[in-house]
Amino acid sequence: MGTQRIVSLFLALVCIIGGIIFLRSKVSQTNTLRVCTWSNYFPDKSLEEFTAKTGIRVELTYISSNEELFAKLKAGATGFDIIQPSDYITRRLIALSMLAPLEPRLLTNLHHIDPYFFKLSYDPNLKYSVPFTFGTTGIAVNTSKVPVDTQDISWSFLFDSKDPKHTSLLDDMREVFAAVLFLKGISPNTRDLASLEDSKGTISQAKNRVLMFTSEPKALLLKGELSISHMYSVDAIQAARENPNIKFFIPREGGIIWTDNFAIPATSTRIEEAHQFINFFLEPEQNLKIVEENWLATPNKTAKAMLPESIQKNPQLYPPAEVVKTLSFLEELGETLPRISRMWTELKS
Amino acid sequence: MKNTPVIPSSAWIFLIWLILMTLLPFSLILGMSFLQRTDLGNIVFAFSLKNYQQLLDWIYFKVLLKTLWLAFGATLSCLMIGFPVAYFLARVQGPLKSIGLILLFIPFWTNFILRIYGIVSLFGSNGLFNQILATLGAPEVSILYTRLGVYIGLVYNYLPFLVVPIYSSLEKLDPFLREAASDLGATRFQTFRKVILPNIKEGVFIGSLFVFIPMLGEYVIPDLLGGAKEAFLGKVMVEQFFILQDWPLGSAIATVLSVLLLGALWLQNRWTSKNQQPQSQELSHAI
Repeated sequence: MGTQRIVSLFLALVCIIGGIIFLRSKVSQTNTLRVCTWSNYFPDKSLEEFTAKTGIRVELTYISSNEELFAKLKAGATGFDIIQPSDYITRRLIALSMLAPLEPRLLTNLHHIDPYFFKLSYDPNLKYSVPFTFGTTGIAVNTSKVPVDTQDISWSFLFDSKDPKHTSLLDDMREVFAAVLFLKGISPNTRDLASLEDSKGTISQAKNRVLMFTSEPKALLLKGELSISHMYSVDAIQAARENPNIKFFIPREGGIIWTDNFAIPATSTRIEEAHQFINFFLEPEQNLKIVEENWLATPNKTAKAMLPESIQKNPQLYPPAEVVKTLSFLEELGETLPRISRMWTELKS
Repeated sequence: MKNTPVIPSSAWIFLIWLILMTLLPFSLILGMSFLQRTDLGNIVFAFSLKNYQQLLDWIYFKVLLKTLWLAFGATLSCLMIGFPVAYFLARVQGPLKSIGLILLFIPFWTNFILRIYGIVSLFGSNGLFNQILATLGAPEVSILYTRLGVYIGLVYNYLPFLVVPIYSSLEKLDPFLREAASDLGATRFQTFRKVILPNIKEGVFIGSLFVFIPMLGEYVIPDLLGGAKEAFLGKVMVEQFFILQDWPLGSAIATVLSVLLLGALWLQNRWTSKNQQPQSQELSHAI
């Protein structure tokens, strides 16, 4: 009994001291900005330059999905000063009053953003968010395995794949339904249950033929396990850097366009510094460094103009105006979303 | 023997841990399952049975049955492979035993996701397995991204969790029991059935639960090795929480699963306490 009590007291003491040390280390970093971002968006060098210029240190936390970010914030995570939600999560965060409104006077570089991005429905006039990068969802093909002699392909290339045993669909119900709806000439944001039910049939047939659903096809594409993938443009372009035979296509019926943004959570206590951070990376020179390093498409028109001609004209990064017209953002579907989810479960059960 | 319920002070740490990390979260989930939500995922604090009504949909029933069936089958396979391993490890002595035990624990030193990726590169269409088949002139076998792939992944990943409890209950078994049984004329099979098995029953049962329960909620393995082509309960639950922002419905699924498991445990408990008496008599008869 005596030794037991000593051991348990000792353990309790260790826990308490450990807790105090942990909390103190959190409190002592007063001039630190906490940025919640995607992996590989910010090169260390750029962050060092920011710290050198402003004296503000940056601590990065990584997320692997928008859903993870949203769940974290929803569950009450505080302490983030900058987050990088995609368009549809930004829309939801705004609706739930979870973002701090931006102060235009602190964002002197905002005019570098292309006017196209000021007119988007998820955040008109960029009151709560600033686009950092954008991309599309389309089809990546390893052309050494499946030859493609045209730029003009259809979504049927995916759903009636010539090489189904090496074909993948995104494991994302909205994206897969959108792709089928595009194929059928229907809006990807339709709430019409008959069209959705019809699309379910198409997906169900495709499911039985294709190899898999995955939201991370890049590694498998590079390993040769996949040759046709439903994919986000960023991943496809990064895969193409390693294997030039991989080509990315936005099908002629249209595709999904998305943005990843800067936003400040309403719970942030360093609103001013957060604006400094956003403004710093809106500077064309700084923006350019990141974009060139990571092969991202930039909404910053001044930075884009400074890129080599070949990159500016790369249709995978910057779709031409006539293609942009065919692109849609995914919109909130309200009560239709649970219906789609049920169909998704049904076709997989 | 006096029966004053004294909780040793060292147990308090565990008790507090249990309350904070098990009881409290479970209560939150239970409570959440009776609430409602808005389209955007905000929780509405109004009592409702809507979530449970939604679960009456045959689709969830189908997913539940499929998941139970898969987990049951994989647990059975784990038992068939794991039991002889545990038996061997308990009987063998010397360096072979240490080597066996080290081999058993080595997988725990590596991250779970990495081990799953190991399976991917082993069974992929360009993987070692298919390369060997190709050199033998056999056709390519697709194991990955099928239900068989999920099955192999489950058995592979959970096997050690089953071997350890069985091994430790075999270790605790008095070696003289076996000797006594054979001295009294029991055959090896009789010894096993009447002496060894009744004594390690608990270990086998606990080991099986250790693998069965987490298998029911598993969603990473079906995603990575099954190509996310089939909906199992874990994934459906995760989708409610993350994709649909329907925490109340997700909580209701989690609650139903927990209640099913608690029910099974309770039944097992009643069954063993009922059978305790006759079995120990049987044991003394056998010896």
